[in-house]
Order: sequence, then structure tokens, then C-alpha cells
Amino acid sequence: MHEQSDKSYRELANEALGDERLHSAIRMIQDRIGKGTRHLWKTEISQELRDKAKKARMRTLDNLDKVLTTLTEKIRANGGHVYFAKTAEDARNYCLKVAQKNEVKRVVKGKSMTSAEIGVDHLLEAHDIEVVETDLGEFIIQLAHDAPSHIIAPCIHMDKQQIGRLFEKELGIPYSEDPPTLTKAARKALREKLLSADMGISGCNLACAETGHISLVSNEGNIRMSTTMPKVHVALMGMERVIATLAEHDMLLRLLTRGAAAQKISTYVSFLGGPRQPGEPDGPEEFHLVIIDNGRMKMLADPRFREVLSCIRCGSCLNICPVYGRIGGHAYNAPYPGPIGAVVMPLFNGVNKHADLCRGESLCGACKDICPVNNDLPRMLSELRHMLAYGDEQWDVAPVDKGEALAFKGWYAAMSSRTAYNLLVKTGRLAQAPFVSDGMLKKGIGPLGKWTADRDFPPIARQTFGERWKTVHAPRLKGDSNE
Amino acid sequence: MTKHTATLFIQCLVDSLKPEIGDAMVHVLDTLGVSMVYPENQTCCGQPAFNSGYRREATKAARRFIDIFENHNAIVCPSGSCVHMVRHHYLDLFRDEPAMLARARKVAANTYEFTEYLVDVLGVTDPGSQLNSRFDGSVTYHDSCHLSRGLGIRSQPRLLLENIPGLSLIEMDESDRCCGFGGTFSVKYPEISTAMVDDKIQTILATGADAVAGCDVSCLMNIEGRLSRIDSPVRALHIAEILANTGK
Amino acid sequence: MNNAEQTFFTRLRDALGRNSSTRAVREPLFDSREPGELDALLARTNRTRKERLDLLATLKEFAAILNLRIHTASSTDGAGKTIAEIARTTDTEWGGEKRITMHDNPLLHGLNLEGHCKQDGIAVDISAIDPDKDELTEKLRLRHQAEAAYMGITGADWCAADCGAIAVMAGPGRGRATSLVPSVHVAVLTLDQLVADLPELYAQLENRASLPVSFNFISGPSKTADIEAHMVHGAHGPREMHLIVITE
Repeated sequence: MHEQSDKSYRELANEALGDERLHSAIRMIQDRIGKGTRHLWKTEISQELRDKAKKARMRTLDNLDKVLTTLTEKIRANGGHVYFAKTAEDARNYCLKVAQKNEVKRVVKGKSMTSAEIGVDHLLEAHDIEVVETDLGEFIIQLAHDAPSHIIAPCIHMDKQQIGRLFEKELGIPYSEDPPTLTKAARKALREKLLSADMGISGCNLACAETGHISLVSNEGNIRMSTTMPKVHVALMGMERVIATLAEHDMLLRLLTRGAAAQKISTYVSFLGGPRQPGEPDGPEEFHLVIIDNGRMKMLADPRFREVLSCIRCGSCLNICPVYGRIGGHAYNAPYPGPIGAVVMPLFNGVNKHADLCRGESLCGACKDICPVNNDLPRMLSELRHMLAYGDEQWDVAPVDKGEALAFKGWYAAMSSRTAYNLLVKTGRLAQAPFVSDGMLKKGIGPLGKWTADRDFPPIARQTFGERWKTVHAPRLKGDSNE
Repeated sequence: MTKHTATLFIQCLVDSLKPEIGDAMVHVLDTLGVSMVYPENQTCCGQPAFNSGYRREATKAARRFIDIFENHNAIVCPSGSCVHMVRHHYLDLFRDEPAMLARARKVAANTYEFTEYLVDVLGVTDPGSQLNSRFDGSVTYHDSCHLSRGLGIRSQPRLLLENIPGLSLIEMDESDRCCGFGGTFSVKYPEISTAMVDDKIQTILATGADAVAGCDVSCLMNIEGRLSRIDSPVRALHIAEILANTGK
Repeated sequence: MNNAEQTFFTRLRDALGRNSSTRAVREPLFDSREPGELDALLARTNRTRKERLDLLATLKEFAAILNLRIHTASSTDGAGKTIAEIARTTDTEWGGEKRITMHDNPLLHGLNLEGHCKQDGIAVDISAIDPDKDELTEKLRLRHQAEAAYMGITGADWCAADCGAIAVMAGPGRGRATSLVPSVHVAVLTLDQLVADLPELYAQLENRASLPVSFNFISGPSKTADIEAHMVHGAHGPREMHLIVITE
């Protein structure tokens, strides 16, 4: 799966930590959208609805064979093609095959994380097919040869001056840092691409099996353009991105737009279930739906992780996560950033490879709290850490850190009796003496050294509470007992 | 008031680093006429190992904890995250061991966070008259993650703080945003953790309060450690210390 | 079903832990409504005129947030005059002559738009295929028509008052590009097509014998906030949207 940098999570995170502009940009998104979503969960949307939506998602996952069969039959009945891709390679090869069969020269893309997941752009470009991102943020990223940093605000890490200089160079317009002027320049440039493309590639937010539609949500209209104007439309869909009925679609759409942008509804919600029908003035002549496994089957089969497939990719977890709030999207170095990325990337792409993503959170639970479908990401991070601690055959995981494993063995040895514990405390008390000043430990050794780089640490007390109980409290509190 | 007995579950950081919080808790419970039991062989509930993925070690600690505490009725702890560990994660650890699971459920049901015990069990509503508490100054309250989101305890500490004579409670923005402690996270990824505590401190300082109060020593230790390093006069206090303060 | 597809479903059934004797559907999968829920939602739309006017007021209030401009007309012909006025006072975005493209929808026939626009020299084209001509040639003609138009007129099927979303079904005479490619989109609706919210709108969809292969919910002009979260209207779709509600 495609990556943008050779650097580690730690390196990328530390680079981001020094970027005050990035920090304030993400802070603004979190302040506006994250807080907005939380407010809507308290006012417009009941916990009951969220529970019901989660139940519907899980029921669909438990019956995914049936639901996908229904979706497929309906779309085929309307003349659409449905292809099942086991791997990312299968999926992108299928896209290429469709493009080549239709002699496609230019592909326009509606924002799709699945397309980044399967890495379709490079393959098409290698076959001399021009690929144009049409979401404004994604277009800016493409022009800058950069990578998206947020699920719904891909270029949040760039400021308008950077974008102004980019447009001056790449679009040949006079320098401007006025967002409406810049947007208008992109509108004009992209309109030409959108109206002359032969093929559109989109993702799929939620497919509805009972009616046989995929549905797509956008504010800009680029997704409608990409799926309406070219003669071929290929929609990429993770196999879990389906729900059973319209009634469920109603619930989940309301959760999706509120989770994504604290909006009651996005400007456009498009339902598409096949190619142009006879007599219709427009629409694609060919419609292809690519239903992608690429590792999801394994998540589905594992009761610890089936739940993660209920995610509706709204990105609300990014809009509240205090870690994401400081390190931004690039540190995750993956198509899916933020808390959801920290769980799915290891499962997609190797738990050891993404060990930092599994371990680099504070498990504060804000993501679980805001998730419209109550996804328990902290629980799953904890499961991933468990795999990393001792290894896991099913997921081909090796123990991540022998030193740490040993340290926890030692830790338990110290916690296994009060005598051992007391000995550890006494040793610490002696060892810390040279480093304590003004009642605080200013410089620690071992793992504590990392803590004390930026923070003081309280020293071990002269007496533990256990000792104080024995010497002070118990004698004073008559009638109370020790055990 | 009927005679209550509380079994003290003093989490390891309080025990070794901040025993004065345990002292304060003893003072408060004693003032309320609660008799106390302290199992002297207690060490740690296993949370650090669990959060880092070392469930074998965490399970051993949990088993030990259950052995020690299972016959006690009101197990009271001055730390939300330890209570969360016992109440929720023990059930994860023993999900495939029915006999242990039953024992874990019993202990979980009997374990209380300190403010929860004061308000929900003992019915404390007015620390001024019931505990002679007095605190002259303004305080802002930090909702620690496992306490507020994990256990749903938000109103109890506020009720207590609001009713301490002399104390003015000033809410900070996003009081339930993580302070960046996260157990071993803070030593594994110290730079991220420090950046997070800086965000937290910014919201604390914006209130102009004299002190930040909380119910979890680990978060307070993190916040205090950074406040101390930047030479801020703002103090980080456990709620037990504030309740035990009589202004004398 | 080809081989890859068969393998996919075999693996899927394995992942779900099915054996040949397990029934695929454990619950009534495609009946997610509570008994009577759909009927109740449909019944809610039997509103008095007064209640519908209240919905209109709600719509107006929310539309302001969306930058969706609401106009009311007491008759279909009056709606035509309103649209002609919008057309007269709106400039083209990409140059060229002023042309309008319009859905072939019975409601829109009553607008007499061609008549109302004649004095300003604005041409009105209908986005329908001539059944006597070759379909793909006609499709190309209509595509050019949509690209040349600065305004597109659609008839909405429903509108959810609380969020400003109209539903527009595609089909013969109802080009998808009409609401998308021109710079200004004008949708026309009668008061009785106004429903309260999305659940009522979905109930209408569910109640139809069949749904077209393509339909859209549209709520306001195209917009983006990708550059420093600064809201700009007119990203790729229409930069302006009007909704005319006929109240007769």
C-alpha cells in the first residue's frame, strides 16, 4: 500500500510538532468541526440512533455475502458491471483494463481514499493516461506533488500563500492569496478537464443493497461531474461499504455528514446504480463497480476486528484526536490517517510495519466517543498492542520489543509481592537522590529520562502510603483494621 | 448516617509518589465517619502492562488484585483510570475464563472512584459543612479520560468543588481533552506527549485559575511536571487534597 | 459468476464462519423498519396548508445558512416570471449568449419560461432526447446544450425543509447535467412536495414502486472550504442556486 515518505512515524511526528502553522490549522478544524459534531450528538442525534446505526452496520457485516449478492444483482440488472477484486493489484489492473478497452486518454477522479489504497494513479499514468484529481484540496495536493493530510480537508497543512504561489506557477495565473480567486482559477482549469475526460473514477461512501445504488457525498460537485460527464464511470468500493436498506441509508447518511463536517447534509448526495438508461439525456455509457477485499476479509473473519469495518469514513475521529491535533496527517504516512488509520493500516499492511501507529496514542477514548457508529478504536489498539507484545501467528506478527517484554516481566516480579514492591521503591528512592531539586526530579534515568527532557517528575516520597498506614493512620483510627 | 466501611485501593503512583493524596483521602473518609480497611499486600492493578499490550503480566496482576480484594464490599480508589481498569478491562482479560470472569465481575461491581463513592454512595453534597472543607482561590477542573469517558464521572467532582467555601470553579475549554499522559505513551513518544500537555496547559492558563484539580494522579503528575518545568505558579491538586483542606 | 467472483464469495462465507447448513440471513435483513414505521412516516406528510407554510418558513431559515435562495410564487406562471427575472439579472460566467436548459417536466411546462424570457433574448432549451433521432447523437447535442447554458432549470421531486435538500430523479427528459454544469441552478417545487426532514424524504423514496438508476439530493450551490477553511461557493457545480416554491 502506497506510502509517501521513507521516514518513521516518530521522525514525521517530530517534524510536524515544530510546525506552528500546521498546529493552528488543525486546531481550527478541530475547533470548528470536532466541537460541532460533538454538539450535534448532544442536540440533534440521539445515542439511540447511533446504537441503532451500529447495529445495522454489524448486521450487514454479519451477512455480507447476502447483502453484496443483492447489490450486485441489482446493478447488473441495470446494465452495470460488478468486479470483485481480491487484491489492490487486481483492482487497479481492472481499472486499467476498462480504461484501455475504452481508449481512455484522461481520467478524472472524485476524491476517493480507496483509490489511494489501491494505488491506481501510478498504474494509469505508466500507461500514458492522464489522471486528474478534481476535489479542490486533492487537486492542490496533486499539483504540489504532496500527500493529503486529512480525510476531508486534504490540504489543511498548506496556507493560502503557498497555494497562491503554486497556482501562479502551475496554472499561470497572477499571484493571489484570495481563496475565492484561487478557487475560481481551479474551477476553470478543472472544468476543462472534467468536460473532456473519458473516464471518471470515484469511491463509494455507502452502497444501498436493496435499491442497487452506490452513493457519493460531496460539497464541491466534482464527484457528480466525474461520474456524470465521462463516458465511463468506475466506482471503487471497499467490500464493507454497503448497507442493506434505504432506511439504514437514511440513518447513516445523517451520521456521515454530521461526523464529517458537522453538516446536516452535504451539498450533493448522488445515488448511482448503473449506466445511462435508454431515453436518458446523459450519464455514463458504462458503469463499473469494483468491490475490493485487499485484506478486509481477514478483518471480517477476526472477531477482534470485524467491528472496524463498520467505519463509515467520516473522519470525525481526526477532528477530535489530541494526538492527530498535534502531529497532523502526514505523520501516519498512509492513505488512512488519524485514529482510524492507526487501527486499519496495521491490519491492511502489517502490524509490525506499523507498530508505531499501534503504540503512538494515549488511548484517551475521544475517538470512540465521537464515532457516529461507536467504533471502539482504543479497544482495537489495545488488541494490536497485545499482538505486538508477544507476537501473533494469525496476523504474522513478531514480538516488537524484547527489551520492553523483559521490562514488563521485571515489572510483574516487582508487583507480585509487597516485599518486592517495597524493595523497588527503596532502590528508586536511593537512586533518585542526586537528581532532585526544589522537590522535583529534573533529570531521570532509563525511560524516565525521556519524560524529564521536557517535564519534571515528582520524586519518590520519603514514606509510601503503605508505610504511612502502618505508622500513622492505623494506630490513630481506632476500631479500623489492617489486613 | 449508616456506618460505612471503605476498603482503600491506593494506586501505586499515589502510594509511592504522592502518599499525601492517600492521607487526604483517609482524612476525608474519617471525617465522614467511614471506617477503613487497607489490604497491605496490594501493589498495582496491572494497568501499565495492559495498556502496553502485555496482557499476560496484566492478567497476573489482575488475578492478584482479585485475590486480595474480592471479599471487600466498597473498594475505593483515588484514581479513575485504575477503577476503569478493574471495572472494564478485567472483564476483557478474563473473557475466556468463566470462573475468573465471575470473580472479576464481583470485584468490578464493588470498586468505586473516590468522588463517585463520596457523592453517589455516601451522599456528600456539601463539603463545606460535611467536611469543613475550605479553599481560598480559583480552580479549574481537568476531566481525565478514563474517568470522564470511560466511567462517565463528570458531575460528581464538580458538585464537590462547587460547594467548597472560598473556591471558585472556572471551567476550561475542552476540559476532557487528553493531557498526553497515556501511561507508557508519555515515555515512548515524549515529544508528542509534551506537545499535548502544552495544549492542555494553554487551556488551563487561559482560565486564570490558581490551581488545576483532577481525580487522577497520573494526569496531574504530567500537568504538574510541565507546569513546574515552565516555572508556572499554577498548582496541580488532587481533589482529595482540596477536600481535606480546611483553610487552617 | 466467474472464478474470481466464486472464490471471493467462498472466502467471504469462510470469513463469516458459514458452513453449508448455516442460513445466510439470520435476521430479516432487508426489513430494517419497525412495524408501521414507514406508514407513520408517510402519514406525517398529510399536512394542512398552514403546516406546509410552517415548513416553508423552516426551509427559508435553514436555506440562508446554505446560501440557497428561496423564492415563493403564488402560481406556476408567477414562478416563470420569477425565473425570467433571475435570468435577466444574472450574467454568464463563461461568456457567450444567455441560454437556459430545462428539464422536460410537466410542472415546468406551466412556467411559460420561453414566453417570459423572450423580451430579454434568452433562449430556453429542453433537455430531452428526440425519440425520432439517434440516441447517441442526441446525447451529444444535449451535452453541448448543457455546457452552453448558464442556467439550468429542474423540477424537484421533494424537498426536506429542515436541511434544504431537494431530491431530483434522473430519467428521460431529466438530464443530470442540468442541475450541475450551468453556473446557476433553479429548482421548482410545489408546496405539497415539501416534507419535514430526511426521514420523511426517504420514506417517499421507499414508497415508490421503483427508483431511477440515478438521483441526487441537492442542497444549495456547490461549495468548498479546502483553502484555509474559507467557504467559497461555486467549486465545480453551480455557484448559485435558487429554489422556487409555488404556493398555490
